Amino acid sequence: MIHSLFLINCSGDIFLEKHWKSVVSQSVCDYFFEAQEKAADVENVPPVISTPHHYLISIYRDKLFFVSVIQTEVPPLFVIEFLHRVADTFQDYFGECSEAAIKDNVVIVYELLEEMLDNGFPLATESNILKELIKPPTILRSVVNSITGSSNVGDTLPTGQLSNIPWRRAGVKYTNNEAYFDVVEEIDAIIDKSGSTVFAEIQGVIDACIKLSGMPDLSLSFMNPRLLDDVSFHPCIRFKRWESERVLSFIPPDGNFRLISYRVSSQNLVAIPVYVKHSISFKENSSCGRFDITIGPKQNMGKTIEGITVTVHMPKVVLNMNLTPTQGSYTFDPVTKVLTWDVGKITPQKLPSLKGLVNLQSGAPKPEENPSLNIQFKIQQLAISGLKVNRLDMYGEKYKPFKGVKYVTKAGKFQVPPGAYWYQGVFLTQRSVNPASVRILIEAASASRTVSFTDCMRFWALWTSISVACKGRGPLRHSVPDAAAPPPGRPEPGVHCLSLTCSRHARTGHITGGLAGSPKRPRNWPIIVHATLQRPLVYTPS
Amino acid sequence: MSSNSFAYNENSGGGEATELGQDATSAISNSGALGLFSSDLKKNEDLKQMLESNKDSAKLDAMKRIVGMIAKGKNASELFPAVVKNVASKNIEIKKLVYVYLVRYAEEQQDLALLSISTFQRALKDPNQLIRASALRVLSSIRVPIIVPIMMLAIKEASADLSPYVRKNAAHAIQKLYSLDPEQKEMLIEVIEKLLKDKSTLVAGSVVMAFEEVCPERIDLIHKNYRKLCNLLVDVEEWGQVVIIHMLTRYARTQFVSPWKEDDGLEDNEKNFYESDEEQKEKAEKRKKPYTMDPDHRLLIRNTKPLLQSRNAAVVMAVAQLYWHISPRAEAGIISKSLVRLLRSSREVQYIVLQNIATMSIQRKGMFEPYLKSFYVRSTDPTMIKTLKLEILTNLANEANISTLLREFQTYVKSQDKQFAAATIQTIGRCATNILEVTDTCLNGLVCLLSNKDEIVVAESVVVIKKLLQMQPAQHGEIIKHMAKLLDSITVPVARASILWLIGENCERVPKIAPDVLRKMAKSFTNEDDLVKLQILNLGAKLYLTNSKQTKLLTQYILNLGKYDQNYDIRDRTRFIRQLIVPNEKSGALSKYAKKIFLAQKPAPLLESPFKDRDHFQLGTLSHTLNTKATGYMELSNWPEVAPDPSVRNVEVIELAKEWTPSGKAKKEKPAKKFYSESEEEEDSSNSSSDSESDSGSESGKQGEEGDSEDSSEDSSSDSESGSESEAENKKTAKRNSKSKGRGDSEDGETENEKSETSDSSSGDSSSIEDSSSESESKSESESKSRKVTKEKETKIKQDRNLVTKNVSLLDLDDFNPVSVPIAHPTPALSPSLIADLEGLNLSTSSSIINVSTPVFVPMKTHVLLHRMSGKGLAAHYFFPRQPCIFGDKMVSVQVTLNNTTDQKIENIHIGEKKLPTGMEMHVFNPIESLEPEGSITVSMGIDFCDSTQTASFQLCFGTCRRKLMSKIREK
Repeated sequence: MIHSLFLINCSGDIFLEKHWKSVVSQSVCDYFFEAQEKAADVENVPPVISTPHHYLISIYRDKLFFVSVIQTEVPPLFVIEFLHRVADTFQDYFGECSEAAIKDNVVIVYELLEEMLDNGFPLATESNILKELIKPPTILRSVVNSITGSSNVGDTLPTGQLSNIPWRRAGVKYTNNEAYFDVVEEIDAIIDKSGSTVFAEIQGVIDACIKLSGMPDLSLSFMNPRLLDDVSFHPCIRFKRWESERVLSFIPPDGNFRLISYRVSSQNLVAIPVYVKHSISFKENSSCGRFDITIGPKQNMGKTIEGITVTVHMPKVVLNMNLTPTQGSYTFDPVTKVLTWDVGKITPQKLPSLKGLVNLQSGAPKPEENPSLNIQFKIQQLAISGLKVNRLDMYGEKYKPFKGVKYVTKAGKFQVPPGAYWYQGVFLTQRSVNPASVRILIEAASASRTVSFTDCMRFWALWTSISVACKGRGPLRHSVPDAAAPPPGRPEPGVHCLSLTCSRHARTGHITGGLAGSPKRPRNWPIIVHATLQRPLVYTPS
Repeated sequence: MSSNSFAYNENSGGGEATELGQDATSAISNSGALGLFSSDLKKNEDLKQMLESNKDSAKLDAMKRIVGMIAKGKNASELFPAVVKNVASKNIEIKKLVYVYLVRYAEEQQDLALLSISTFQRALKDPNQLIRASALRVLSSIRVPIIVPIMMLAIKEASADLSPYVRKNAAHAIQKLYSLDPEQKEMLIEVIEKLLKDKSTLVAGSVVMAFEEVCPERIDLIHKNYRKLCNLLVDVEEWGQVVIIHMLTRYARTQFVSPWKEDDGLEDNEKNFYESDEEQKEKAEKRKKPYTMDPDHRLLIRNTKPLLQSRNAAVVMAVAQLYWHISPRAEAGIISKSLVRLLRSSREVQYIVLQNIATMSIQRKGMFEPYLKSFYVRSTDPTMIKTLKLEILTNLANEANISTLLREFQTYVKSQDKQFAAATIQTIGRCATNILEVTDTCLNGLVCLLSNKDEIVVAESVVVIKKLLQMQPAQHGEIIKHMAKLLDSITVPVARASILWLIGENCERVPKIAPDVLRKMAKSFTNEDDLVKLQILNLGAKLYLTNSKQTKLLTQYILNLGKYDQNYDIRDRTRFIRQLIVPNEKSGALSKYAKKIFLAQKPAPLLESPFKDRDHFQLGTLSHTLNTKATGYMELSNWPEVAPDPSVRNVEVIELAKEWTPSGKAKKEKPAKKFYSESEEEEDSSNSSSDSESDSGSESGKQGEEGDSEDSSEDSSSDSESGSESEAENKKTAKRNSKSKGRGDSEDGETENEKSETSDSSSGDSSSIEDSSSESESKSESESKSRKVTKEKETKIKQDRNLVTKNVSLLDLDDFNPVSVPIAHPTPALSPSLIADLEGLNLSTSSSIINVSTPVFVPMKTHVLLHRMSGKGLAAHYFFPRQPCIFGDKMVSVQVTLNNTTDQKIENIHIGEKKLPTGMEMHVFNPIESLEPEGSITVSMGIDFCDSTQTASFQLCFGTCRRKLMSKIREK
């Protein structure tokens, strides 16, 4: 199957080669370099390349290309998956999968590759087994080895290889028996220019760190296993148990491993924890523009959102940016044109914003579009899908293990495509509302300097979030029971936001807002009201 | 890095020795104080000395440096004699490194390599299995033809070894020996045959790999092991699973009959419960040879299903292709979810998976339609992923989702990745030709793009518009005029050529412009690209023929220019055109027809998916990815007409035999045991008439049961085929009758739960009882249930009515969509909003104005309107797109997807009698004339629910004999 493997760094040097059958000349990589040149950037190098006598299947990981040479038909995913497994193993052994690490440990790398493939067919890929065959390098061991001459290579067959549980080695012993599970969920979302969620889904994984002696048989159950729409398992999990009882039953590998990864599809409602509002505008006949981002919490389930980073790919014509963040720090790389704003935590009292001037190349045409944003954030102690581990039971061993579960929610591929975020002057709900009257109300109001509106809503809703924003002075008020308190209005003219999250018990509520416009307020400043109602709602304007 | 570039210089200039020295130094960079060039030879001497020393540590050090050299790809063959001596070293690490060296260089120094053989032979008898295995591994890897007999012997011995690990290595050695000496094939096949019988999961994957490599044509070797392989599959390591699944796919295609057409036929027959008993009997008689899935076939499909949840993408893909190629069409749907999951992994995995999905989505849109949004493009995706996603989106586009898609495309056109923007424009063109309703809209949108700032975008739009106009020979004079103006500004050759061609083709429609264009082009002829020059010649010729008065001189001028062009294609064309159009004494009969030749009606180009022709490759293979036959690709054979003798798979061992499903059950959609499955089916069909909220719930329940069934089937012995067959059918008719009683009334989630509960509990008892008795029980039970249902229904309905009257006053439906056509034809009604969508395509005017009417995030949950069982093959699902309804502002739009699961056309699908509560209104979809087998169509309806939770009941009629089915939609 896999004939040879070449490792190539970013500058195109082949720094390692390994052949499992007869030797294939390095020159075969020329086809790869050709394709790489054509592809312009590394991400676009086709993973499968056909050459006159061979096929090259490659992956790109950590700035390295793993190029494998294939001679006959083989499922490409088989090779790709294996190459990733090789990279994972390097990562596991050396802490990083880099050119330097591989060069420093070239003998171990060779021994590993020798064990992982035989005649091109995978032999041992489980990290537990490999670690028994070839000990990972540690400073202590290398010192001891150089003195005593003992080796890194184990001389007994790993026990796991023989049993039906090849992922676990026998005779594991710990003084503290611990089992930790990290439930990590990532929200993938595309939020379109109008602020509605185009696509959202939750991708989750449960990573385990199991340090238990002997052969523990664990079973992990969830409070709400039906949430898991699509699950993929570590081979240790018993399929049948899951299918019949929705319980994860398994004899774990030793150490760190990924127990399951799952998806909560967009068919379930996905709460989006933050909102972003951004605008960029350029003056005609001038090489400057204004740039403005504000970020705020939306549905955070009462937890703090931290580690927020906003990345913006600015248009090519932007020379530099002169911005002031109200919070955090920002960097702009003039070469890649990437603006990174490290926001940190959001406190609802003061919404972080980043504003300032953008300098363009003089004479260059105005960029056509707003840049798109990528957002990173983290919420500790919350699995946004609501997944909860119920209990962990251990059978087969007598001791009492220490158990722990941690939840984290992160932004995955969280993207806000170009364009304004808010609806303008439209009270928008999902449907079945009477939007016309509200629209009229607000449009009328936006023409005047002072705005006030009071409306009563009756919810049939489960989760409802309402945001009202305007440019102007004065606080916004509301009287929706059970909703989060609104942030006090800021004294200076600017954007005022009111975000409410109503609990499912709130059947009715009033939304009241009042805004006193500053005398300078131009007439065309919009009043923006945005509501996302996740469920149909009956709405009666008062 | 500097040392690297240095090494390159060395390569080109220096000899072998220099290279070696260089390597040695870079391998031990710490001790690199020695001069590079002076110590070259010494260095190797040094290594040799170290290898000959008595200290293991020195040897180890030397070996490590040598391995470093090998890793770099540098020649270390000179050291062979010194290294080989250490093959018998006691130190296991030295030994391993020597093995590494041997495997690399033995081929080049065969005589010397023989020195090591005796060591291996000794090691093959070592009590430690690890040593035995690694000795076999190296022995078989050194590729020295002389030792073939020794290898053969070693393999034979190892294949009978007690340790499965050694046997696994033996399986690997088979392939190596075969590639070294193909003449050993017969002997090796014997070993393979022996190893195939091995019960260890460790061996299974490797031996099947050997089988695939050595003797894939000896399918007969698999027969006896087929069931064992199927049953072991879940426990085999993941790489082995991939190989086994691929092999079994091929096996299944040669050994079983096709489950595709026949399967549907069967369903069709089952559905006829509305017909009288007599009719049914007739039908049953007609169906003399019903399709029954071979239990072994079913076994394979069932046992691979859990592997869809593997963490290994290759395994998931392998199962997916297995389902695609060998499972009944209706069951293949389950793979889409797992494939979509893979889209989260690395870009390489995405690339392959998307390619496969692209091929699948051409043939069966419906499979991936629910996951449409998973294929939305992200700006961070690499271009190759983006284009593949775009391809899939195009394949999935239909009338129902085109408006959303076009809106999405509109964002893509603005992408900074211009290659991708261009691909998007092509996609819009393809959608325009595939979906006639939006052709005009797309065309308008594309015309707007012509004023885009970016040249590539404009050029691409021109090319696409050209194709669209060609397909629609209608009057598009305005567009052509507009494009003619573009000639002044646009510089991309393809676009210029396209415009010229268009003008030439339509020169009679734009009589004033065309000659002027020709005049301009004559001026710039010499500076044009070849492609453009050819089109200028064409344009000249066409104008000469239609309007020679104005353009005669111009054309002749151009022809003169072309005559002396540097490019011979252009000179040729010039000569050809001149002869054809300019009458002279030499011109033959052809010039009479010149006009016909040039201005003939040209067939419109077909805008087709590039994945159209890939379907003949097995999915998931390298050949499929490359779209050419890779070396060693084995074609999937077509299903045999008549199944080969199934008894070849029988094995004497009784434990195994117990594991197959009894034949009668296997033919059903979901394999499950007797009574259990029946109740499940019932639940299923009752789901269709009412709509249960617990879609996912019931599904997972099913999965659970399926898991059980495997265990339970062990207890139950298999029935004779024909017997259970007819029994099952009787059962079904009985069920159906009882169910039809209940159907008249609206069913409800509550009662349904009750039902399934009762049946569940009884299933527990009956699972151990004989077949026949459990049937009668189920029959009577379902009857009693249906009675209960009717009663409860009546009271429910009353309550509902009361609610309605209260609610009406509260509800005030209004919509912000300006389109307020009370009743409109669905097709034209779509376009106004679409035009608005596409107007956004125009970038120069793009601003915040377009932001207004965009859909809010919609949960795309579909509900069953009509289950295919109760609909005699017609299945209907609906969902609420949550978009402003085009039929009226008070209506809620409902999209109904109709699927024909039979093998015959279903004709005249329309909505018959409606039973709506007061106040409710409904706008029905236009009757569908016919629905092809396997076809699906999505139509939209509008229902004014008055914001209540009442159901809208109506009859869905289809077919000639006016089959009517009551269906209900309730707002959710």
